[in-house]
Amino acid sequence: MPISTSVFKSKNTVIPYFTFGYPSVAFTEDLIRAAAKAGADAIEIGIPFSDPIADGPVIQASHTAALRTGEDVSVFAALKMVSRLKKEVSIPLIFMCDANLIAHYGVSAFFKDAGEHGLEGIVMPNLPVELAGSYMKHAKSNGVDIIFLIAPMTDKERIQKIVAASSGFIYLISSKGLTGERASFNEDLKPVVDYIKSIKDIPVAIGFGISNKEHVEFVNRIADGAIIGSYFIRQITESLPDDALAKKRVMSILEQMKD
Amino acid sequence: MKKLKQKVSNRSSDDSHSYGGQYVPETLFPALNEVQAAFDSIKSDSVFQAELHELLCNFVGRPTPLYFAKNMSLELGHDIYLKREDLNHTGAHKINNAVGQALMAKKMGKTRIIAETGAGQHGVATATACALLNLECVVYMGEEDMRRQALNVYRMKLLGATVVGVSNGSRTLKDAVTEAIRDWMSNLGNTFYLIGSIVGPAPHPEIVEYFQSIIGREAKEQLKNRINVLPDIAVACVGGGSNAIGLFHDFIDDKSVELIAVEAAGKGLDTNEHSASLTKGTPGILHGSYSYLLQSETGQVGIAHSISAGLDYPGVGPALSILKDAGRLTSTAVTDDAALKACYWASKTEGLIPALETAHAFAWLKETAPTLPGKKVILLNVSGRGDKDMQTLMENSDILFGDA
Repeated sequence: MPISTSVFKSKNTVIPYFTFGYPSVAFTEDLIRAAAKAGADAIEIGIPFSDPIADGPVIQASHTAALRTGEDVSVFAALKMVSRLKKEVSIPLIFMCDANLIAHYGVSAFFKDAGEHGLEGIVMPNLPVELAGSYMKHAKSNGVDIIFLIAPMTDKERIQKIVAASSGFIYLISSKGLTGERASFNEDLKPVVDYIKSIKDIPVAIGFGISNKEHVEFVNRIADGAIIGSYFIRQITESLPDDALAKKRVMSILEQMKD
Repeated sequence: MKKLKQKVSNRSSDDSHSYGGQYVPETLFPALNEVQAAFDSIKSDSVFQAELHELLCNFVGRPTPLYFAKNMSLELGHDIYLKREDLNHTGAHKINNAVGQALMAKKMGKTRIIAETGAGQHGVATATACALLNLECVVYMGEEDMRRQALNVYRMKLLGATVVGVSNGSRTLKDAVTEAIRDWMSNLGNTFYLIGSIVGPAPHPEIVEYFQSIIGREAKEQLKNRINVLPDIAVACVGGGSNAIGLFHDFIDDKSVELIAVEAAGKGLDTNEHSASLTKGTPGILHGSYSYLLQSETGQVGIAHSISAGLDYPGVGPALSILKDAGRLTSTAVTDDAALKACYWASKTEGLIPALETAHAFAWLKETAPTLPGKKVILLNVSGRGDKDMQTLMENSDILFGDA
């Protein structure tokens, strides 16, 4: 089922972000299974990268740690995990990764493999719509959605271009800057959401800085869903090396948010 | 499920990336558009150009001399001309760009300048320009580089800048650039990212090339006045590529001039410890642009190595990648040891102590010139002076003086 119709059905749509291989591939795989059972509406799988320019310190540290484990945390290993998970998990699985990992893999090869392994979508924070031509072509022919980001300061002309190119949903960044938790939450996002919706009927998920149930409810009121990364990763980081505790903390927060 | 092995060879011609570009998060686009507009306007702004000219002449000390290196010429059997960027204020070519961009930032109404630095030369140049123009200055520097270039860290502080140590990744130039971009994304509005090399998202590489192209323009004119010929060879060291493109820019259309880019082979091109992205890398995306890059089999950015902090970068400017693929430029690389020895050779032969970065170009000259047929006119860019490298030189005295 396409992401746009399968994900945004619930009143409190929550899309957690987990770093692939942090602290191990088995942990990530287990966490995704559990999160799907607990009601996550889709999962973003962050592929570790050496130089994640869009990420705040919490997610960046998880990437560095995942790369240092010595396990295979490549795009290809993540696709293999997706194909294993897809036998039992029905919610969409989406990659979030630096465009270089895909450019290096080979754009056409990646989307072909992604389609074969059951990946539903991909977010590449540093791939602007103007440079996405070949990516979009191969994504489309393999049934994979490319989810583009829009920032609150993106001008209307760019928003139009991005919305026209998007499939699946739009990832709206809650505020300027990097991923990471924030005490205050930008409440001026509704006009941006409304403008996006006036161009095309496409779901809008909001990410960056969401760290409590009130944020989740607010974001679901003005848009269609919440993407939560740093807050979950911090629970894991603070619990390690106790994997069981890490999982328990993530699940209890997810369950409470979905409640 | 078919068994698939991930390899670089998965790339197909259909993947179509062009060098350069703006591979950055959406958040940066308004800032990049603002920089582009400012850059477009200063090029034809006579007031700006006059102010820049005044600063370059009387603050920086331009034009820098073109020096006929008599002793080297005699030893090597060619005519060696040295473009003395080491005689600029602050000791390297970096100040050309720092003054230009800081002036541009001032015109844009920015109050806070951020920069990355490897060897510290760009950091010092930026701190200097900021002190001159009364701008707040924050410089990101890898902790490993802060250790190697402690003197430059102190100079930046003396000039009123804040130096922020970067402990991520390899703790060198690559990580300093990443941190500077993150700062920029969090502080749009009042902050201008004064990048030091021809890297980063468009239009930044082009801006740096614009301000550095004065090197080749002057050298061409000086050589013309002196001996009324074009050089046969123009040679420069390459980290990100700013001094090289600065020298090459005005000679690109002069097809008779051979352009030589000397990269850092570190501990050897057959090891993983080098910075030779043009010579040994594959195209990829780093810091907002697509260009030659040292990367792993799975697309992780490689950790570069060079004894000279200023060359210690796994990427290279898109402009040089274009020239390489067009066959217009030849890239080559020399090892740490060869650079150290060439530093000593240049110092005792010609009475100038080059920066370890520049010593790579001298190493190429010393090794290659004797093999060239006939008598060539060789133009070498002395990108910086070696004062900052005394610590490293002293630590490597055994190699330096080894077979002298």
